[in-house]
Amino acid sequence: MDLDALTRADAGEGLLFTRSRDLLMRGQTFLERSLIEAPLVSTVVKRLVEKTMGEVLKLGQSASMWPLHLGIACCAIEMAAMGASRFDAERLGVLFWSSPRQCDVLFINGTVSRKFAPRLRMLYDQMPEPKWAMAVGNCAISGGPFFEGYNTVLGADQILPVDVYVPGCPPKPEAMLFGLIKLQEKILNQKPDYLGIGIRQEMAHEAGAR
Amino acid sequence: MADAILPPGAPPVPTSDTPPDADCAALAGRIGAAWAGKVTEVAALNPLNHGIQRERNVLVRFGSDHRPMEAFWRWLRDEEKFEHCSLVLAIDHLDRIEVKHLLFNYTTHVTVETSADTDRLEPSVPTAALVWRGANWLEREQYDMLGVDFRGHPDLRRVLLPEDWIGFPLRKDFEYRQAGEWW
Amino acid sequence: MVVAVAEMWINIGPSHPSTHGLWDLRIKVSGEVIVDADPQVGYLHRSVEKILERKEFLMGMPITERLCYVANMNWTHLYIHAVERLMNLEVPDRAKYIRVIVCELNRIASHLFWLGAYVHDIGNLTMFLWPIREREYVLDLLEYLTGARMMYNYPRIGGQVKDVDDKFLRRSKIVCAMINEQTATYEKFLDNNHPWLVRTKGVGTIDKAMAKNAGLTGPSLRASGVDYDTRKALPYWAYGDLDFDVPVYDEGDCWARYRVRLEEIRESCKIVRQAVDDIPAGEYLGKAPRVAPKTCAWVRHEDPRGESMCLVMGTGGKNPYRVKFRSPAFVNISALPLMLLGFKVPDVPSIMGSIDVCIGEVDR
Repeated sequence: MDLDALTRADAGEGLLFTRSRDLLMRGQTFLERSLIEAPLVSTVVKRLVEKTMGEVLKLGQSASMWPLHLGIACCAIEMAAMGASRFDAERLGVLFWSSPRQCDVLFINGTVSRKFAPRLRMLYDQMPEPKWAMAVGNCAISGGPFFEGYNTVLGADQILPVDVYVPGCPPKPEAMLFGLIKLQEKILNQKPDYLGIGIRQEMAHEAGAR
Repeated sequence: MADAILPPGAPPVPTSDTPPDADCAALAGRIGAAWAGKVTEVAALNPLNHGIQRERNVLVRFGSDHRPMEAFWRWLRDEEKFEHCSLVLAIDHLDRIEVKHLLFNYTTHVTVETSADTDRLEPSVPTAALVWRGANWLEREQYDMLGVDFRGHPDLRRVLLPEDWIGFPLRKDFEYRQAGEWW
Repeated sequence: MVVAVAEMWINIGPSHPSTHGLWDLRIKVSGEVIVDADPQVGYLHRSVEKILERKEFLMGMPITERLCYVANMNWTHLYIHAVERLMNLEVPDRAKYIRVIVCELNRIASHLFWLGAYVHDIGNLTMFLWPIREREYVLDLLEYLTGARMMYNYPRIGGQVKDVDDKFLRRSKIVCAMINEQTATYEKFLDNNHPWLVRTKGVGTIDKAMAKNAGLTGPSLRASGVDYDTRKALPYWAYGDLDFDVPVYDEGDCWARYRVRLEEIRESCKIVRQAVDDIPAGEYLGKAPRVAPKTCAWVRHEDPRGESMCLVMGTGGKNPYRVKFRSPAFVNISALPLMLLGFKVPDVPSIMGSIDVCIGEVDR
């Protein structure tokens, strides 16, 4: 499969949107202005809606992140240990779920090889918005100890947008829990997606129209 | 390893005076008697150091004439009860490719190493997959990595690399990463 | 009236919770019954053998650790052992006993992880948590010794990087005694468990002759009636001096493979106990050259998954010329289609899990 075509088709123009979340924030503001400001007269009402519904939605999203039950390589074993009884991940709302259609988070825990890269992208595309990706381990960040290999993709962010990077080879389960908490903070600090329409798809359409 | 020209400062190849096991010597004798003239060399190897691992190895070299190999393997499996194919290995020496099959006997614990040489441009040896089913995937892997064609293999296709990969990575002239590749 | 039954190929994987790694089992089903299978591996091919040719012998050791990530000590020691055989180097006696202790501890951890993941596939979530909890104690021990939970970097050419102390030896005896008791709890939980017995007894059978010919090794082979263990047949390190049994069952089904691994946990506890009692004093690291002779050498090990081999060829310099690993799980997966024929689709997770696949070593 032609990987370049895949990344271009879904992320708008090239790799621009894969690394920058503030472009998405700007898109959200544009949508607010175009859809909300017209019917709503006062700014106070707009801010009220944002504060109540938006906060509730963000709280819900951050407190129930369901990752995909995907184990790629060594970091998956530490992830399984993270989900077991000593480093209980379920107290953060994490429930490993097998179907990508109902998942929020994709943990990329292992070396991405050229044979698996199209399937990983397919899994990421099958997840509905809002979705996040966490690169666990050195291999998913930059290729790791296998950067000299002929079959290694040098980091998962070559093929999909990554939100949190957890370094380590493998990172201890405590480090992965810290990464999850960072992802929760990221979700809580962003502008709310209370329209629930999927920011990235809109941005891609915008870029395509332009 | 016929070419024993070592670089300066390299240690010598270790040898030992310990005589080989009785089983190995007897097997080497039987192979020499039954297959005289068809194999290039038969030797029960002297074990180096039992403190490292207990060893019972017999080496059978075929050279470039592969015709007796399939019959030899069948004889090993049926008469001598070598029921296990441990390893299939291809090595790219720069002037030839050497293919080794390591076969194992579960009762006498003897390993027979058959070694065949083939040309580097179009390497081709007979397959052991019809004799031992375990050799099937091991030979597919050597085809995948070095491009060795196993004549008579029921299903010779790539196993580790993607189906449309071009090139054989473990050859010594394989280019690692082309310049400008970003993934 | 003849009813036509649909035959189709189904992909299970590469992303599937019960594959324990990335491999794709394509099965051809006729209705619900499996008539053919074609496993596809290679989704984690990390070009280890080529990378090792570029690195010096010791530099390559951490790469081999990532090969089978559940049984790291076994694979690093396999590579270092092959390099030592290449250089004709025998390690000191204390190092031999240390290697036996840490490799058997890692075998216990690997089998416990397998047990947890296997019962999780069958549907039993309690028995996923208990073996993982026990495995955490073993990992604590190894973290005390080496500093890391999973990637230990412990062996060196000629011995180990640091010595074991009395606290570690005492604690390893305590942990082994505790795990020995816990295996009785697992047995009590699973022996009269009707769903467990229905899903594992008589499922995925392979007979002795076919298992030997297909290259199946390790606990899967011993569950089919072949009494062979590399630690007994071609002993290495201190295994020749230690007294342990090799569990063998005749049924050849998933239940027999589970029984073999459970009893192997007990035997490994026995081995660790004896090795801790008999460990000699002395040095733990011998002198090692940095260059290797221009010849080929291999060693065979008994990995938790089967018989693993490492063949190293030297050039007379500091780098190897060719490194080849025989991965037991690679050949066990190729024997999997024989175990699947005639069984139904719901039996697939049970059979797939029972051969204990660690995809890092399959794809190398």
